Amino acid sequence: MKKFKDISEFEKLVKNQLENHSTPPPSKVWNNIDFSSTNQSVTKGAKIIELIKNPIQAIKIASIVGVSATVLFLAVDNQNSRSKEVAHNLIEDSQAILEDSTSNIQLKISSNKDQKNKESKHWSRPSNNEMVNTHKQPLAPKEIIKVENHTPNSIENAKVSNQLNIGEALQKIIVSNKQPCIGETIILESTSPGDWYINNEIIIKNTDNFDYTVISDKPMFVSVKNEFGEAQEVISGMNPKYQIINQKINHNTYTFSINKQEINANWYLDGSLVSENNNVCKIEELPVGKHEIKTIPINAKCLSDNSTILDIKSTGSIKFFNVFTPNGDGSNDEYTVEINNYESYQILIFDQISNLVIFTSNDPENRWNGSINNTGENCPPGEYLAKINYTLKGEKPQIKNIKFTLIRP
Amino acid sequence: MSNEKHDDISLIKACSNGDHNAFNEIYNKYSGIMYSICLRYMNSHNDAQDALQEGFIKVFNKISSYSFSGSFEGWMKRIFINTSIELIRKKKYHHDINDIRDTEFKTTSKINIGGLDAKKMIELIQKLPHGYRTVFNMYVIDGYSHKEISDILNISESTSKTQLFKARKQLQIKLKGWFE
Repeated sequence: MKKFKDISEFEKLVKNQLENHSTPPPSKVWNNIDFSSTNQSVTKGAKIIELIKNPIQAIKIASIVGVSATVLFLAVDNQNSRSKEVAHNLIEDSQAILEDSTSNIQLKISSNKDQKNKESKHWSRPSNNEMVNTHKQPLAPKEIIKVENHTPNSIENAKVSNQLNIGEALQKIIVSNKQPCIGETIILESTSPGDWYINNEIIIKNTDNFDYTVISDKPMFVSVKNEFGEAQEVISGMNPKYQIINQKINHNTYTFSINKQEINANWYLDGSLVSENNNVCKIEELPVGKHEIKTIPINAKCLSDNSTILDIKSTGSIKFFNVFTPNGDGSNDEYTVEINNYESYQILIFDQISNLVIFTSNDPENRWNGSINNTGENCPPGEYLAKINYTLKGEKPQIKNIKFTLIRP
Repeated sequence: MSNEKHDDISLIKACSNGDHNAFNEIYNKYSGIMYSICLRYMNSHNDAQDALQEGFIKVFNKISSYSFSGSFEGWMKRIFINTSIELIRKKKYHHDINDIRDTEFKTTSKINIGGLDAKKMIELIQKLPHGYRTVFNMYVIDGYSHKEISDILNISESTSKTQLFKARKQLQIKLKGWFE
């Protein structure tokens, strides 16, 4: 058994084998295509495409299906297997021509397998035995769904404007979003002419126009259907993103907000919940360092989490020196630590030889002048050790050990 | 080869003039290859047949817009790939491509690969979740770049890469024992 070195070797084999691989499809596919390519009577598979592309065609198709079914039904009613077969063939090979696309539908059904009309662009066949059938049929939804303002990568109000000619027939009309998102779903249902419902709540009464706004980042189905047909539209590929905007109040206090006011989220600071169900979130006294502010949208399940990183910089600073000359000349006469914006400060100075504390202070302005406790006898030149405990504003306490040299001329 | 190309050109011209026989000939010539593509993208024979049917209807409706630049087969392949993707979207399978991103693959059953012929490979690919399958097909077999995939599927490039990575991981699990 030959083994693959790695997945890419396997993939090469797959590409090789499948790129131009051929599998003969079952013959029924051709029959369906052949039939539907007459372009005037469309089978199930092609129906949806046609419906979406051409609303008027949609009515025609839906009506044809209805009428054809009636024909079949009549044939079956004759209780004759021969006539069943004939009826079936009739429908299979029928050429239906619509004379009228409104409520009066004239259907011509012809059957002739052998002759082909080669001049026609639509593979239609000539009609020999014409059978004219006039029916008064309620109409399928006059599907007109338009999606406007559809821009990927941003929340857009997909305006689903729908004009339905409700007419006189009793219709059930559903416009539904199968993956509810922010702005929630459209489920429109009409059980009687002119009444519009959304989630069982009537939104528009007795009108043949309505506008509804929905926001979604997932492909969304909008369907309009009644018992005579169905119109479908897939609004796809909206991929809204939202942004977290931060506004600095001062160096460690920020206000965060989502740039779309309709979105509320739970807010997390470094993984812990700080605010619930809010469009804005104020975080005070952020410690120095990097923080992750994360949002999990809660009224828009389709939206993904978002996060932003905030780096709070220290405002405090500290600077150490490693030499001083207490000779009274006005420069470097005291051992100095420059510290700004601190919360706490303590310096301990040790004699390296005796390891004793010879100076201590909690005030950076109170500096060592080279004598024991700044009052006793002068210390000899040499190396000394300073241990400095300090906390800069917003930061953690720190300890620094500095070796410095006392120089006397 | 050039003869074949010439045949194609006359077939296409005849077809766009409404010649039913030419249409039939194109179908006979290409339906096998296209059906294989549909099988790879869809996960059942039924759906693949739907895709094939819709794809051919598109081909015949659009054949007059074929510009004769680039190969006719490539032009058709793109139509069938797009049709399959559209169908997956429409059918939805109740999964968005992005949903699958974090779905752990639970089945541990390994495929009995046997000779690992093309048919087995198609089965193997069909068993991948829709998102993984689409990206795997497009990237590995049909030679789309991540950028192109991200444009067609309306996902980010990194999602495309992750999907591919996960598809590979799953295939490796399924093909355990087939790697050295």
